[in-house]
Amino acid sequence: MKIKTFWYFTKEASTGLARNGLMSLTAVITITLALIILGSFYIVVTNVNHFTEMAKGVLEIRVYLKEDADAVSLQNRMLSFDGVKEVKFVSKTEAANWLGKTLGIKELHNYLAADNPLPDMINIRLEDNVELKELTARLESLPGIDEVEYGKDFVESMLLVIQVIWVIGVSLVVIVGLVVLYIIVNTIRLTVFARRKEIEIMKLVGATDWFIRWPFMLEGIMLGMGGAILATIIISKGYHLLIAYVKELAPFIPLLSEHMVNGGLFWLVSLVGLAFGAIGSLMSIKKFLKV
Amino acid sequence: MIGVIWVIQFQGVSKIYSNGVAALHDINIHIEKGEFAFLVGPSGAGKSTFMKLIIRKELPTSGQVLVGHKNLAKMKAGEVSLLRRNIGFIFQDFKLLPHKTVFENVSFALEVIEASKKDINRQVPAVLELVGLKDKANIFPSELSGGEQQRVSLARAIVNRPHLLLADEPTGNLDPETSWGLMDLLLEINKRGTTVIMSTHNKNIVDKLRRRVIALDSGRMIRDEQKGGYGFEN
Ligand SMILES: Nc1ncnc2c1ncn2[C@@H]1O[C@H](COP(=O)(O)OP(=O)(O)O)[C@@H](O)[C@H]1O
Ligand SMILES: [Mg+2]
Repeated sequence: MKIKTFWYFTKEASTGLARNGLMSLTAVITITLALIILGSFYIVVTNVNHFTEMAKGVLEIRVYLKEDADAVSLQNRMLSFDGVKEVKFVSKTEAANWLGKTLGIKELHNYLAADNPLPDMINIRLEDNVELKELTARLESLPGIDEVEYGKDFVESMLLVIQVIWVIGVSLVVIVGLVVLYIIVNTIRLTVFARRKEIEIMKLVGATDWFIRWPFMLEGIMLGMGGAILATIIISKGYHLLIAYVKELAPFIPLLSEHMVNGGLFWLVSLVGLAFGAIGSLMSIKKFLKV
Repeated sequence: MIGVIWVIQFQGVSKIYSNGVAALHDINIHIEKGEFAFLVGPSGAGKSTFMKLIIRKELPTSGQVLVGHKNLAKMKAGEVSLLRRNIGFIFQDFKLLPHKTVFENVSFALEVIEASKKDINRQVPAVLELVGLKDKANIFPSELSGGEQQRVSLARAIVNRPHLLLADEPTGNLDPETSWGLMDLLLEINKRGTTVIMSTHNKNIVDKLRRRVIALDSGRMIRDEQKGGYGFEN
């Protein structure tokens, strides 16, 4: 594309925006609102993700051993597994002591000493990036293992939450995308309609369809990007305030810092704004190119 | 399109619009490069449809329209753009852009096909000079008379030096004297080698100039004669 042509397109697109000033403004504001919903959801998702990752890190797996298990070789093999940070052997005597202490019955181990029903066990501390399902499956397949226990309920409900979040996320992208599309189509249609005579003449003197499309597409992209930039600014300012507020009231809730979400946030809303802005413009002009 | 000989051929062309109106019926015709042809016939005879088929604004329902031996129905979008760059078109209602000056209306036709600034600055003044509007380059169409507006429209149509000029009732909104002024220009352009096809109701002009006359009535070609007259009662 020639530089001159590029400037021509930009000039035409800006003229289009200015001509429908109020409509363009309304469009940008509505797109901003739609993208704010999407962007806020993104913040929730990244935080939930972060939280589950952290939760995994403090998780422990308890592996109960059978009577005849070879605890030492088991510990060595476990240490070689991905996601395992530390292993610690807890004998059944230690377990009985701990239980006695916890229950306040000092002599419990004496009672149990003769016939301690508790199993030996190995406590496993996990790495942050552990694949829990995979690891427990591997542990269960080792010889001499009676039972593998971990915060299953917690992990499973977390997984469910993540699934639900995915469904909501995809639906949101679709819905917000459609809203943006609808607004762009209707805004650009005004410009296209105002310039239908020019388009007709352009077609007749032999301008290519892409030459005619570009200014309208740029206009749509400018509207979409305008909304995306505003939405990013508003969300990140809002999130900034939220972080300060939470720090004060509930410091134990681990929120991600702003700079960890801003980049992804901007990309997401820009991509949606840009893509649907461009598609919407193309849809508006399609009919008028059939000359 | 370079090197193509600009012969226009209609081979058994019929056009039925989507609303069922039969605008043209079994038209066979051959127009050579450099000819000047009048297209005559009452309103609704199919004259505009005939022109629209040549610039491929419409496609025939049956039969073929060939320009330079190329079947227009088989052209891709890019080829249609190239075809149109070689055809000038003027209309009864001028189709000028009201918010652009005379100069801008003409340069527009070059800008949108990405002509260089150099070409624009050379060709636009030259063509405005030819149509006698050099002094009015910077005013808006609304400040011009009908005849002047049509000359702007003509300037826009020929600024890219087309092989073919289609004029659809170009004198329809002009008084007799202004009409003759426009005819002089069209004849001059034809003399320089451009094929001109002009539809008209103007009996006076057709009868005086004695050029090829193609007569349409209700979508049928009823006459095609060299040095013909208007033939219809006006
Ligand atoms: N786009 C169109 N859709 C439907 N009918 C049309 C269209 N254009 C022209 N017609 C019809 O086709 C016939 C021929 O029209 P036209 O070619 O404009 O004739 P002319 O230019 O000789 O007056 C008329 O009956 C007209 O109503
Ligand atoms: Mg007509």
